[in-house]
Amino acid sequence: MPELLEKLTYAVERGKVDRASAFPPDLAAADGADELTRQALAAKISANEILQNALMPAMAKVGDKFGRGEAYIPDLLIAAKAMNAAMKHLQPFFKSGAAQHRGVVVIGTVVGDLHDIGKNIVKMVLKGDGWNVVDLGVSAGVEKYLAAIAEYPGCYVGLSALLTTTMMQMEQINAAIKEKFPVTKVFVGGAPLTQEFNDKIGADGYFANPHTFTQYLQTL
Amino acid sequence: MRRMQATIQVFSPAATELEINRNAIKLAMGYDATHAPFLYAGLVDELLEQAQQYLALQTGYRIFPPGEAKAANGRVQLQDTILGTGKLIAGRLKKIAGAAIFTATAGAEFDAWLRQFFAEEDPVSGFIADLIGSEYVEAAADWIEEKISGMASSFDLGCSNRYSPGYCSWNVAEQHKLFAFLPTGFCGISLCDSALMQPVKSVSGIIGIGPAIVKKEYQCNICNLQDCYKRQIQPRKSQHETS
Repeated sequence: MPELLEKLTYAVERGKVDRASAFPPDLAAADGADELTRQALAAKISANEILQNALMPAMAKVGDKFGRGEAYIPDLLIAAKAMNAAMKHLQPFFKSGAAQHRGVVVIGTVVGDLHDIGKNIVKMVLKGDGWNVVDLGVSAGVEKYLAAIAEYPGCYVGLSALLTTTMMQMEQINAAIKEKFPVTKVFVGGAPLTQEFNDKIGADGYFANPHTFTQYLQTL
Repeated sequence: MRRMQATIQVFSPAATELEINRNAIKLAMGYDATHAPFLYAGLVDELLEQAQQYLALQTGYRIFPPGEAKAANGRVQLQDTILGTGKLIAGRLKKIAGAAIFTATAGAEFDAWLRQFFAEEDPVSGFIADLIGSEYVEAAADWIEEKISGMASSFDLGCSNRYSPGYCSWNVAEQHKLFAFLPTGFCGISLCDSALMQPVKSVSGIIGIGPAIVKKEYQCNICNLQDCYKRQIQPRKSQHETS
């Protein structure tokens, strides 16, 4: 049994999505995260054990490599893709309560801004790290955020912007969230942002990349 | 003596006319060009080929002949419009007599193509396609810069580097002032209230023109924008390969 989970960890870490995936070349003929998760469930390994003892450690390993400068955004993304292939088989267990996400993160690109590549990358990495991600899409205004927070009590919120003009919307959205949901933590990210800007608008953290964001969320 | 005339021109260069630097894309992905894993290097080539069918490159300029532009005290003046470029850019343009406003875009279909990867949960391809879009738009801007520079030199005038709102402390909201000089939908680009260009893979900016203007080596250290494509593609110290 542990051997199967070790294989799954390795498949996710290397970004081996399924048997048909040509990558990584040295695992070309091997089962990927998709098949290995199905095998683990068939072997009566619980969804939670698969999540806790195989998938999350895999993403942690890739994240550590990223932190050491030994892996880059594409490595994070391909591992997240493999993780998501595994997570699809675990969805019924999340619905039944037999397995739990780490929590909920509501993310969106703020009103006036249509850039979503960065937000989508963060979304994939968060999902790969075991978070239930509620994506509000692009040009999301304050009402959308407030409605999502009301629907997912205890969630964390991520605001994304790529322009210096649209990042100003973050101040208003953060203030509205803090007024209605004072304990909700709001995080910001995007090319023009800085920790200074985060501090100025009273948000709870700025992260320059998805890995440091997920790392921080795990400490909360 | 021939004088440079006020002109507006739009071009649709073929993707094959542009110089695309594959190594720049690998650098932007985070790798040294010589050490990009096989997986990603292969994917860059594959996506570059696919991109050809979605690119609808357009680029153009409006020329302000000598006498229509000047710069001082953190401002650039085009006709009666004051651009608050900030001291950095205005300083570099202080000898201008004329100017060119330019735009370049990869087109709306390209935007849709790269978004589709994320919709299909293929973020690696989406990430690389996004960088390919940036590379093509920058290459289109290089192309139009060369055209402007060639035209200026035929009048014994020099050209500055190109500067864009959002960079080098020039507020991106000033993009509205640039677009006010251009016909609606110039190059197929529109501008939102927030100064966001659509298609998203688009650039705009200004190039100074004048008899005493010279282009300088590109330097990221004059700009404080850290997470920028141009900064990402600066060769690292261990990087010697060129394409």
